[in-house]
Amino acid sequence: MIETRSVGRRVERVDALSKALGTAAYVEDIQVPGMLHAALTRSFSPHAVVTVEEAPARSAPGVEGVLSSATIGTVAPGGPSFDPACHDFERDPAFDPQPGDFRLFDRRVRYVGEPVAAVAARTRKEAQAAADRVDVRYRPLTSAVSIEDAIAMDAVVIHDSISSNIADTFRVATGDPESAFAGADRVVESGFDTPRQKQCQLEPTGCLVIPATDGRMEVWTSHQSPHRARSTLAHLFSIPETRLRVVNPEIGGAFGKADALTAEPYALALSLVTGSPVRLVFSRTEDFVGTEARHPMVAEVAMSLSAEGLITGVKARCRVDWGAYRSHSPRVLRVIANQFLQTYDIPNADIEVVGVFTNTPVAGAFRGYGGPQSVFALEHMMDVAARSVGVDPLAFRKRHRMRDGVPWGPQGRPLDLSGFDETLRVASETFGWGDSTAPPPESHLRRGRGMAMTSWKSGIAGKPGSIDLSGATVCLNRDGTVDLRVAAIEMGTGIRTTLAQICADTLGVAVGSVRTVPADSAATPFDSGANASRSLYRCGQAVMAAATKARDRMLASAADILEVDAADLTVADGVVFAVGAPGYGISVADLARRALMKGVDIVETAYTEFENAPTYAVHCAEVDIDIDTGELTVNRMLAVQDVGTAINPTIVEGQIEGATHQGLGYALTEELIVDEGGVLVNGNLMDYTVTYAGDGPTIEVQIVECPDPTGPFGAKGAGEPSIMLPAPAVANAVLDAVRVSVTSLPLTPEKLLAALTDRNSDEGLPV
Amino acid sequence: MGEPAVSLTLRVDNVSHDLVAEPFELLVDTLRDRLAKRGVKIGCREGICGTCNVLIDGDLVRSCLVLAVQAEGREITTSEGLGSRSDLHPLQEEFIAKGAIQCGFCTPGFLVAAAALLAEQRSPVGRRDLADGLSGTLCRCTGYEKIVDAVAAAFTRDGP
Repeated sequence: MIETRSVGRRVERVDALSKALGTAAYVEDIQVPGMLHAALTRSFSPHAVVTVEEAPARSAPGVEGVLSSATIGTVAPGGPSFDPACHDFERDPAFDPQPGDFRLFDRRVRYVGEPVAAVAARTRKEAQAAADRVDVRYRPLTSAVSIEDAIAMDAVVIHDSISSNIADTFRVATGDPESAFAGADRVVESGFDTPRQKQCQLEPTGCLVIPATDGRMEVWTSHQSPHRARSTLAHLFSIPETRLRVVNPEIGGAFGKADALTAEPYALALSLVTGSPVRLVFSRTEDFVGTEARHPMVAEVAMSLSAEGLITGVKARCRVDWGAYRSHSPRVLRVIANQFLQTYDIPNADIEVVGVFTNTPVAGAFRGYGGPQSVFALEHMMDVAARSVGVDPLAFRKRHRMRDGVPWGPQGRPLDLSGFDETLRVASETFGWGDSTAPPPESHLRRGRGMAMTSWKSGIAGKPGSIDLSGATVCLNRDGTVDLRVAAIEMGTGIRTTLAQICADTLGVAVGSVRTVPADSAATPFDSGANASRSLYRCGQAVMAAATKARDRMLASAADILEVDAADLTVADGVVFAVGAPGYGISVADLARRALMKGVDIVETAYTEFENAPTYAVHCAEVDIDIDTGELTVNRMLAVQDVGTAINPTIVEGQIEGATHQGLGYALTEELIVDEGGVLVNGNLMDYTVTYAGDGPTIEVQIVECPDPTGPFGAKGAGEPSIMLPAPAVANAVLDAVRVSVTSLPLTPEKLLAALTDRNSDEGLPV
Repeated sequence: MGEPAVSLTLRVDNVSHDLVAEPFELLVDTLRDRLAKRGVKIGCREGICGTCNVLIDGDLVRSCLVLAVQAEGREITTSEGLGSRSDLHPLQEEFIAKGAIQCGFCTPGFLVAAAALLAEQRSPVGRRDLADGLSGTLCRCTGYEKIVDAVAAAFTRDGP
């Protein structure tokens, strides 16, 4: 039994002070002598064969290197294609190219903004000026910038290695959906349309490459998996993996966008060709076009209901816009499909999700990874179905939620839904779900309430083609401190602090004595990366396992020295002592020193790759709608989430609040628009509309703690579920308030007003 | 590039600096590149995100929207001028204590914006007023709740 000392406490973040002082160094803050600045020349055309003339850039002032299709072969022999989402070379050393893989400086561009040349120069201004002088000639091809255009019979094919723009189709079917629908008492159906959402992390994407004196190339990047980035970069440039060192500096937010290679290959190529350190930092506009966004989706969803008011079947036909290249899309496609069937017990289902290439910027990983699209559709359909049979939406959800005890996850352990039930209970009591709603303050306002819920896995163990491995090394230092070497990525989530708490409590030392080493492919064990709500869960397991081994080593060596049976020893505050005799002990520092004198260090490593944990979340929203203008105000937004154990409640609240805020953006304001020429209409922070502090409701958070037996101290992932629920909760509140179903996100006043007008004309009411 | 350089004196965080800059150089670039004020961040370079916030004679200004020469003869305060490791500003203490810092990229800009708010309003104000007062600086991690908590706590400390 491990005594917990810091777990559950609001321990101050280890990175808070340097961030408050402004001394924390992000990619653009690192200074290296002789560093060159890079800039990219990007395509103006959505689809064209390009001819690039480097000469005008080469002769520009300050230029030290230029690369394009003509010259990239000098550093990337053969100009191979690669997977920006990073192929798992650890599992499968052979990379089998797939349709839609990306190629540096292909002679054919497939979206507006695709890089066609890269320039390194002495100053930022010189680099940009030279990049603007690269002469690019376009032989335009017909383009397809929308899903409809891309799947039309006569559509231009964007990737020649496949016969159409249908990139992939994934289908999940259970039971007998045809019979369920044929025998249904009633069927409810609706069409859905969800937007391209952008992460809008505050730090623009960048990368700094430094040729080190030992012959290695150091790649400083905010990438969410330094190890996986390293293997793909090594393969791309045909250099040994260990000649690359991929390191995280401080990261100014990522939310999935840094789970793909974007700036790194260009900065590395320029550094290889010039022999100098090279930094490439995207402008904000480049960040919008040049890093991956959430996939837009259109879907038709239907539910069949029995005479008893039970859902007998669900069908969905979804089309997902992948953009111009593959990247994460095949995996996102599968999450979209599977997420339709993670929350409710629906006996008959037929879910088909089709991925489509278009001449638009690449879609990829964004917090939720396909969850927000299908959860919005499913959760709104739950309310439509509940209303059609006259059942309260909460009661309807309880009636259909997944069954306890069904085999679940890679090991098939029985599903435990106590956390789901507790989350529902807390949400409904906190929100006052059964209470009557106070009337809105003015006569042109209509008030409504809505809820939404979901389950979500932490971790991706057991998924074909995915690797879900985390390692941790715990090293006792001779000054009594502990180095925790983990490649868990601190992109703002607080993971360095949380893992230090887990390490400290497992070992029996003060949390302040544990230093979490920043992710570094040359210094920290392999980690699959910060994604899928996995870092705390999976890496936390590895930390606990490594720290347990180190503690056992400490106890064994202390037993020899103290001449006490190891079973009678314990550790607290950095001292190993006999139970019941706190005065008779030896410090961790002394143990580390004595171990060295015997020619060993107390260093232990452990890896974990097993199981997933189900997390549960419920959101409730109350809205007022102005029926004259369509303006929607969210009065209350409650987010309740089961996190297993809140290792650090402040950090957990921050994750839930932040995810909910991004989910409200998805619900109400955020949509990256591509015009018919493939150009981003609002690819800047002014027009894209991330909201400020005063623009939204106060987000109320309630943490539910139902520990998972596989999680470290019972903890499960906390980062993602709450981004999926604000949109359906708000749409369901709209349905409650004005009896219209708005299924296109974001829920703008224009769409609401149009829906109200349609309803009124249908009902013969004055418009 | 071919533009004549100008000599100017900038007073930043209570220290005067004689320097040479380009005529159309943005203050944010001067602060970062010539004076190593790395706490001044660049999130958009178009005046939306507020990561480059500074005070000029006490007024909240985005340093990507003014030229260095326009700031000559005035008092520029960056987040570094608010407090130091040994003498933290109450806002820095509250941002740390309340969990208002996640990725930290917006933090210096928020501290400066909050300092401006603190300076102009002496009486305690409500949460909604604080949130409105902090609008103009973006955060993508926190949902703003803990930032407002931190500023509210600093107001309480500082209040009558």
